[in-house]
Amino acid sequence: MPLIANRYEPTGNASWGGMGELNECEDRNLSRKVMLKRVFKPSDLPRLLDEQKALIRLRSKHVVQLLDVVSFKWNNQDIRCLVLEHIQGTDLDKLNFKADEDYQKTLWQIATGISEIHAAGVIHRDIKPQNIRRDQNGIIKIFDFGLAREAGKDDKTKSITGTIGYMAPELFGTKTISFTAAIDTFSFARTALALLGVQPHNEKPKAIVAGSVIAAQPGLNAEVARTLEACLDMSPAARPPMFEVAKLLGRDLLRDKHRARVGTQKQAYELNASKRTVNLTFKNQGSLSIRYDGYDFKITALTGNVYVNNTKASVGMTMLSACVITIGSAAPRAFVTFDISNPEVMA
Amino acid sequence: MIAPGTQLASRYEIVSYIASGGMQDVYKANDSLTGEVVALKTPQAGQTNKRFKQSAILSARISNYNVAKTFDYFEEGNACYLIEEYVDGTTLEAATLDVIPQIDPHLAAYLMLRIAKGLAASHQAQVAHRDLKPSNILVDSNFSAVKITDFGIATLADELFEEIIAKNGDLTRSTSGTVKGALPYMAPEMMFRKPGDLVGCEADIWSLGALMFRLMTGAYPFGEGMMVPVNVEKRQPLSWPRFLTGKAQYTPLSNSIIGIVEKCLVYDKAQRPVALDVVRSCEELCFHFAPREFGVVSEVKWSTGFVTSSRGAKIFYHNDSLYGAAPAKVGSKVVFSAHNGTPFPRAHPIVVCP
Ligand SMILES: Nc1ncnc2c1ncn2[C@@H]1O[C@H](COP(=O)(O)OP(=O)(O)OP(=O)(O)O)[C@@H](O)[C@H]1O
Ligand SMILES: Nc1ncnc2c1ncn2[C@@H]1O[C@H](COP(=O)(O)OP(=O)(O)OP(=O)(O)O)[C@@H](O)[C@H]1O
Ligand SMILES: [Mg+2]
Repeated sequence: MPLIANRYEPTGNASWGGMGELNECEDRNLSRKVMLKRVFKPSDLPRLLDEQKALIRLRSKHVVQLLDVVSFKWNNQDIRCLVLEHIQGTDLDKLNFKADEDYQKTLWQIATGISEIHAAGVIHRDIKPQNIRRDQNGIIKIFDFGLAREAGKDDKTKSITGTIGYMAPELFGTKTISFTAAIDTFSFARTALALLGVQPHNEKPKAIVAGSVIAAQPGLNAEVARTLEACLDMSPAARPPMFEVAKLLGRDLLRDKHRARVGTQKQAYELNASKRTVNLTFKNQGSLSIRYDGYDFKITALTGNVYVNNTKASVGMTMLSACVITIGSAAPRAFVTFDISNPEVMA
Repeated sequence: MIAPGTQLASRYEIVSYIASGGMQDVYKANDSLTGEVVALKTPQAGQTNKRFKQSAILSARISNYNVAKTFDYFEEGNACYLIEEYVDGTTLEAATLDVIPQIDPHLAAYLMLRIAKGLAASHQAQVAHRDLKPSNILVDSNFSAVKITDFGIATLADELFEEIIAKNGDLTRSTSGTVKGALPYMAPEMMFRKPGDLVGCEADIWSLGALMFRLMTGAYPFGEGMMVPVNVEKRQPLSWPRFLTGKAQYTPLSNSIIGIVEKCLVYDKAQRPVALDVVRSCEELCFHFAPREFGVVSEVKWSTGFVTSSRGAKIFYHNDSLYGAAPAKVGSKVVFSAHNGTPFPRAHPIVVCP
């Protein structure tokens, strides 16, 4: 076969989905593999265009990238293909997870990806383990935007579309249904459970009993379990937005990983997971205690006149980075600097 | 010059010319498929297309937020073109060295972490940059985007370098402008390499150290021009200016960064940390990143003062937050981060500009 569009050479490897096929090709221009996705039936062409439209709007580390669109004639047929980046890796339905940090990092990445998809005004509509892949570097990539819709625009459906078992309850019915990004939130939580081996039932989902996720998955972090339960709420409006879900999961991954440096004129102290509290006293002007709770550095006790950036401090206050604590309201006063480290979740 | 409006590959439309480096011309273009603005790069006359393509292939293997992404490469007519993520901003050279005499340790820690992350991803993809310097790092106006560009561009210089090495024995006696510009950041194994020597990722770590030294001090770690190879070869110790550790608020952070930079600038490449080690060390640093603003000192008192920001706001500062070699006087131009404070926002850090 000659080169497609003068640069893509089929390798002979292909995968098939419900509507069409993906052909692996070598891009001669950049010496790398790409995937050419097409549909079989002309009547499914709108799906390919929906996918193209959605991918153009998206530029996320966690979404497959659209590289090119090519049209050509083959066996007298007009063929149109999306050229997608080739993701070397494994679909999530082929991986085994247990409720550990690796699992939580995976969920955090999926949630980050979905929240970026939503931020771009796109609803995926088919979130499931088969449409998510982990690449060679451990990065999660979401693909198959064949059902994707623009939020607030073409967000109504008459037929039941999606994958039963992952579909939100509001999508089941006979009337025309409007849906929101919260359908992806539901599918996300269903996916999260499927990754732990809890396969969905082939039916309209039922309400779950509060606390049942944590009861069934004692290894799961309680915060994560609560979040997943909230995502499975029968009412779409009660599900948290995906950026909140991502934030919660990310916050928990950084628990106990922060350090703070507390500097007085005389001495520097460090706070971290193994040394959580510092007590600072200056003459009889005042004192305060700061404690690291795993997420934040908070003032836990206070006497006399203490100011943070010139604002009167109070018990319970969360310390921000790059602030100055002043003990005493007139000279002699003590000035204490406070700086926090910036750990990031490493995928 | 490609005229604005020119269509290439029936997809990219030239919007405007941006600039030219030593080896390529850079344009702003519009991708009509995605509607996105992109950077289009094409080699200058005299560069071989084969090497340009090779550099595109290398950089396309890297996918990281701190590396300007290579989207496409194509040839049309006799020319070749590379399509890269467009960064709306300027180079790190222009954003720091041209306007700030020396960056404060908080900004230094932040930048080092971002650059090290970009390097870690490319080294994981087995791509070394080999020409890392402030002009090959792109930043937007508040440093929220920090992206290394021109990965693999060094392969373009290879031909030139090989010629010079064949003629002079190594690179150090070359009078070529390209070599001279690169020398202050160049690792010893690169500068003294013999024909056929392979230069790997360790060279980027050296360059990272050298560029951090330059941004933090305003000076080159081993001098300029012909003195660089001499000073590198005699393993001249780095001389860090006093102001880095002159203020209690900055001393611990400065000392930690100095420690990391010194490890990067170890002569023996096997003793240098790898990029991921540098990332980890930077994540341990206690620093705060907030956008920088410019302003002018309006009032100086015994230990405090006020600044009028370029947006017209009155900002308080304490001498303890004043960083750098130059003292603050009424009328001094300053760069600072503003924090909440009462009754006026507080500047910290604050650095006097020339
Ligand atoms: N960019 C890619 N790189 C590598 N493999 C991919 C890529 N995109 C898809 N695949 C593989 O091809 C399979 C089918 O892809 P996709 O889900 O996009 O097709 P589809 O026709 O929409 O499928 P379905 O309708 O069954 O969901 C995926 O399960 C995945 O294993
Ligand atoms: N992706 C990009 N987005 C926006 N502007 C860019 C991009 N890449 C480069 N530029 C601009 O084009 C200019 C020229 O870039 P180039 O890398 O070719 O030259 P240089 O780094 O100045 O020189 P050298 O050839 O020594 O590397 C840069 O200074 C920068 O301002
Ligand atoms: Mg350059």
